[in-house]
Amino acid sequence: MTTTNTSARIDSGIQRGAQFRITIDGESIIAFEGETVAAALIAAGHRTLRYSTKRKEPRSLYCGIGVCQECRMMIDGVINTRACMTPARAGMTVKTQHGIGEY
Amino acid sequence: MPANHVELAIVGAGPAGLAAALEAKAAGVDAVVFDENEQPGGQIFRQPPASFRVVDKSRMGRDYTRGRRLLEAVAAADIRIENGVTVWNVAPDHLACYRDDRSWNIKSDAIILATGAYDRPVPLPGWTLPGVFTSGGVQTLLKSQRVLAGRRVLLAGTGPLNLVLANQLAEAGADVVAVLELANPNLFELMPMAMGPWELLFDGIDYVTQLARRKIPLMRGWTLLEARGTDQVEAAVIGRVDRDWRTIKGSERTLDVDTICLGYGLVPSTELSRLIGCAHRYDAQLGGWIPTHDRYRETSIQSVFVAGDGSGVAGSLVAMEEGRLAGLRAAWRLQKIDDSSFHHKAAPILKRLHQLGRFRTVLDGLSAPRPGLFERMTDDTVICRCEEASYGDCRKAVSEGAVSLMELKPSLRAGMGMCQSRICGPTLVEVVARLTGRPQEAIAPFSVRPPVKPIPMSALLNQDAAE
Repeated sequence: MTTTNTSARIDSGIQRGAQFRITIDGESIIAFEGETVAAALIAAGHRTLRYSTKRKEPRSLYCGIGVCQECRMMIDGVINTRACMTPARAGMTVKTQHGIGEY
Repeated sequence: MPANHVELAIVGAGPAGLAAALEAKAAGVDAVVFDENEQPGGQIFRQPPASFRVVDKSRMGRDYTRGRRLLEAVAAADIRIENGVTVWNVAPDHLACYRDDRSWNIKSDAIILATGAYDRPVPLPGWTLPGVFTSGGVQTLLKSQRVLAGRRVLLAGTGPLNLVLANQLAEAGADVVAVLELANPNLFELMPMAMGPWELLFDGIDYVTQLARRKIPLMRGWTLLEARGTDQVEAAVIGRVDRDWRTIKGSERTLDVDTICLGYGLVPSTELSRLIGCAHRYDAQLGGWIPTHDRYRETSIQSVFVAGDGSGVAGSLVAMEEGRLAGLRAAWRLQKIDDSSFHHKAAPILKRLHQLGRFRTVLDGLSAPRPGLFERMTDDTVICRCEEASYGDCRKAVSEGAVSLMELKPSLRAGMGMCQSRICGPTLVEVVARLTGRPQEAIAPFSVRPPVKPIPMSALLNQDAAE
C-alpha cells in the first residue's frame, strides 16, 4: 500500500455530508456522504488502488469518470468495482485488488 | 419499474443531452434522459454530490455557474432523468439499461446519443504510475468531490482544459509547477479567433492572464517525456518540441513533482453509435472516428441522432446548440412540429453553430494530434492498460503481418480487457497506421459488442422479459 501526504480535501465553499468511516485493507479512514470511494482514498493519501495482472504494477485512478477501469477494487466483497463511480457508504469494506481479483 | 416505452430516449445528461431534452419536451415529446452518473450535468457541468451543500458559489468556477443555469432549466421543465443507469446495448428501436443489479429494455421511437467524450490517452514511459492522472479526472475530483489529487503538480498536453485546471488547482492550494502546452502558435494562426465569438476569446484570455498573475509558467512548445518514480510519481522529465511535436534532443529537464495531469484533448465516446450501426468517418481534428450525420444531427439511421462531443469534440457551447438542434429534429420526426416550425426554430441555432465553428476550427487545428505525440513510447511502454500490451508487443505483431486492430487481438489481447478498448483503441489506430504506413482512416476501430460496459452476470439473469 502506498500512502502519501500529498492530497487533501478542500473545505472552502462547501459543506460536506455526514462523516463516517470505511476500511481500506483493514485500515479505517474517514469518508463523507456523497464522496466516491476513490475520492475518500485519495484524500487519505492512498493512491494505489490495484496491482496489474501481469506486471504486478501499482495502478491508481486515471480517467476518474468510469471509462478506463483502472480503479477496480474489491468493494464489499465484489471484485472489479470501479472506485471512481461507487459512492462510499458507512462501514464499507474496500480492498486493493490484485490482478483479476480473488474471492 | 420504469415505463418500458418512450417516444424519445436520450443517452447522456451532459450539455448536449439536456439541451436536447429541453427542446424536445417544449415541442411536446415524451423524452427520458439516461445517464451513468449519480447526478445530471455530464463531465463539464458535473455538480457536487447532493449531500454536499455549496455555501460559496463564487468558489465553484464558471462551469458550475453555466451548469446550474442549464440544470435549473431542466428541473423547471420537469424532464425525466434516469441517473445511475448504464445503457449497455442499443438498437434503433430500443435500449438495454442496467442499474442496481437489474437489467431492463426500453422501447423508443427515436434516440439521441449524447455520450460525450473522455481524455485522449497518450502512452509514454511511466504513464501508468499512481499520481499520473488525466486532467479531466483531476478536475472531476476537484470540482465535484472537492478533493485535491496532489500537492506539487505538473500539467502537460494541449488545449484549454489544462489552463482552466491549473488555475483551479492553484486556487485550491496546490503548488502548480508549470503548464506544458504542445502547441506554440504564432499570432497569424490565432487571428481568425479575433472574429469571435467573444465569450470564448475572453475565456481564453482570462485563463492565461490568471496563470500569469499566479506566476504559473505556461511553457509553449514543451511537453512531458517521461514520468519517473517507484510506487508513484516522483519526477517528470520534460523537453522542448518542434512544430510536429517531436522532441528536440538536448532540451530535457527534470522537475520534482508528486502529481502529473495529462490533458491532450478529448476522444469521442462512440461505442453506442457504432453498436447501433451508424456510419462513421475518421476526422483527426474532431477526435478520431465519429458518426456521420446530416445538417440536423440525424445519423445514417433514421430517427437516430447524435449531438455533443460524442459526435465530434467541440466543447460545451457547441454541444448545447447541437443538442437543441437534435431535440428539435427528433420532435419533427415524431411529428410533434411541422416543417415550417422546425426551420423557424432551427435557423438561429444553425447561425450560432456557424459562429462557434469558426473559432473551434482554429483551436482544433492547434490541438489535433501531430506525429511526435506517439513517438515517446518505448518498447516497454504499456499501450493497453487492461491487458498490459506494450508498444514493443504491437511492433512485433505488425512485423509478423498484422495490419488491422482485429489482428492484434489474438497475440496481444489488446482491446479485449475491461475498458473494452476505450483506452488503447485511439492510440492503436495511430500506432498501426504509422507502423504499416497507411492512413488512419484505413485502420478501422475495434468492433463494439454488448455489453458496452462491464455489467454483472447476475443482472442479465435478473433481466426483465423483453416486451
